Amino acid sequence: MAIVEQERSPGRLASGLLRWFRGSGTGQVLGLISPAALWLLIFFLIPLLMVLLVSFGERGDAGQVVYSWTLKNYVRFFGKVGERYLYIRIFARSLGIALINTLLCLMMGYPLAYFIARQPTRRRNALLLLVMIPFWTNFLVRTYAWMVILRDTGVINNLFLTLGLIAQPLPLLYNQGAVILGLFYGYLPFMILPLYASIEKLDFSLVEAAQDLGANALRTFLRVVLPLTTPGIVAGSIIVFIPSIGAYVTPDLMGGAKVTMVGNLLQQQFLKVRDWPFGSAAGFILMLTVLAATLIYFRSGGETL
Amino acid sequence: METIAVEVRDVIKRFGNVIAVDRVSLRIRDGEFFSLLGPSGCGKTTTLRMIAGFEQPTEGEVFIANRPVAGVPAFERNTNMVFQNYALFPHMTVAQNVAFGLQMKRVPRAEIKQRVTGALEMARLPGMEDRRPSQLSGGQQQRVALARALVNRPAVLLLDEPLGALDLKLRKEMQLELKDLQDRVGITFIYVTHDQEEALTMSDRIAVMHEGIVLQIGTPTQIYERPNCRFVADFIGETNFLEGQVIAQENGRVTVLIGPDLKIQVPVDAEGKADTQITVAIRPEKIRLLNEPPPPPANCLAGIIQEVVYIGTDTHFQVSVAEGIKIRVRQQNRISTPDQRAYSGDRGDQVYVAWAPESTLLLRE
Repeated sequence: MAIVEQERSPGRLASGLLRWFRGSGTGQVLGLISPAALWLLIFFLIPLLMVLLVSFGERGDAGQVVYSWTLKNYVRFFGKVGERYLYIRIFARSLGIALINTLLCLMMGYPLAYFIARQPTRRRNALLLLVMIPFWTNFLVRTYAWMVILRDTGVINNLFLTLGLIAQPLPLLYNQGAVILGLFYGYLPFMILPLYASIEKLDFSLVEAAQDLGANALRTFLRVVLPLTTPGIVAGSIIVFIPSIGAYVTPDLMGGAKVTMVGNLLQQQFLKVRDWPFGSAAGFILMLTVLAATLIYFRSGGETL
Repeated sequence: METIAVEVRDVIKRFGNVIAVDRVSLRIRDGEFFSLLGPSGCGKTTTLRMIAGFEQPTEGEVFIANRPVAGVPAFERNTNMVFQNYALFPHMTVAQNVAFGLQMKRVPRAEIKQRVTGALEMARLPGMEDRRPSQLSGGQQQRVALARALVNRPAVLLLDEPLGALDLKLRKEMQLELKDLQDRVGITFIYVTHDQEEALTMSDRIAVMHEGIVLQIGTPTQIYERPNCRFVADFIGETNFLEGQVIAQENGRVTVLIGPDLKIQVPVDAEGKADTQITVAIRPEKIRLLNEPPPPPANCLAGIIQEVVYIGTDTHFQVSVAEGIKIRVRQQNRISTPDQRAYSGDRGDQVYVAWAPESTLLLRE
């Protein structure tokens, strides 16, 4: 009876819900976050714990997981394969590529974001749209497009060969440079947008105030603009760094067999070698590293965040 | 001989097709409190920004301490600015804000500390060194902005509507404080405002601007008592405008016919031409309301009170003297008895409005 009545009067239902939300402080907070919290619990936290459990197991003969509670996988990751510390090298390479990419995006993205933020509002929106236009096409398609441009019989090499500038095709694809180029291309917009958001918020009379007080362009930037846009730098760097270090598609397609990153290692372990325990251990080490790096970076960003 | 702190010579500033400043010339004396007064969009802020170095004149020249400053960037000019919204650095403490300019000039650390302390004392901000701008009230932020500018001992301090964001009472306090401060430091102040009362209160001289043009430059008294055109008379204070025709001239006075059978006497400096159409202005507070016509030579018109508004200090009357001619009169309420105003007339009463010919201004159009 009561339910029927509530259905007839949505206003009453809404006010009832409001009353419930307004209840005690904790109840309200729990009520508001519960859908997202539930989602994260089921699809993130529990799988994560499963990965952790698997990482302490062993690969059975048929590729199944044998829970033997061993640290073997972790020891293997940090140990030698033959003569070389293979996994540590892959890991270090991923870290290096991700750092270089983040730095590149920051150095190229900052002036661009600054330029866009200083334009009149109308042109600003048009320029932001241009920044986001690549997202209209699938990332995979765009990566293949890069391959068409860079490969031995690709656009650039063909052009140079025809013009007689080179005798042999330049090795543009399937190396570390190509991977960095692909990542840079893919993640630059993710750097520009948070940077733009924080530069746009900057009160430009502060820039004038600094100049008025005798600061030249460089000192104005270092003492006023940079500190006040740090939140954007931190946010943009994290958003670029995290997916870069775990990148899979770009190194797979543009790095060939030569540039293996952690993402490719994980794919091999899970899908080709079917060594889930070792893959899980590698995945966990990656996650902890990213977590540590992010925390340190957040700290260095200071109270502005 | 008086020295000129800032000279603006025939300066024109165009933004695209818009002329923001149209052939402005100013000579601002050393140690002077000089105001640029005008409605928004009159070019006063643009003029100030050209002196600061944030804008370059399209034509003309700016001189600071007799040196042309064309091409000298803002950070190399010996001027400092107090911005409309203060523009305090939010990521720095009060002391760091004030020290910024000295650090840029590479003043030794010990001297910076001493001068910052001195500047904060002067701005009456003791014990605020470690606060952030966001932890200060509007008035305190205002003082930090002043201290941050004055600590550099600039040749000229530029102030862009610095009191605009404060409430009325605080604004009045700060007006007197600013004037006092300027007396003490002896620095030339160039002050931009749209508030005529503020300009009158603080300035040694005022330039009234409108649509990019300087209409009149003068002391507050000159600007108020002898406005040289209708805009200035209208913008500063309240004014009655009467239009009429010159019908006679004698002894430095002209007789002006402002309506059928309504004649008034107006003093003229130069030759007033007969039969010319002119506008005269009379301030409402110069006019008295009388029951009997006064003896000549006072100007006097008979009329009927149409409106009486009591506003505490004064009472405002509106008197109709002829079809379409209304005169506003302001009388101070000197006697503190309820119901007893200086003139206890009421709506509909027959009265005489009277004023001295000397209080009548002849305006050029």
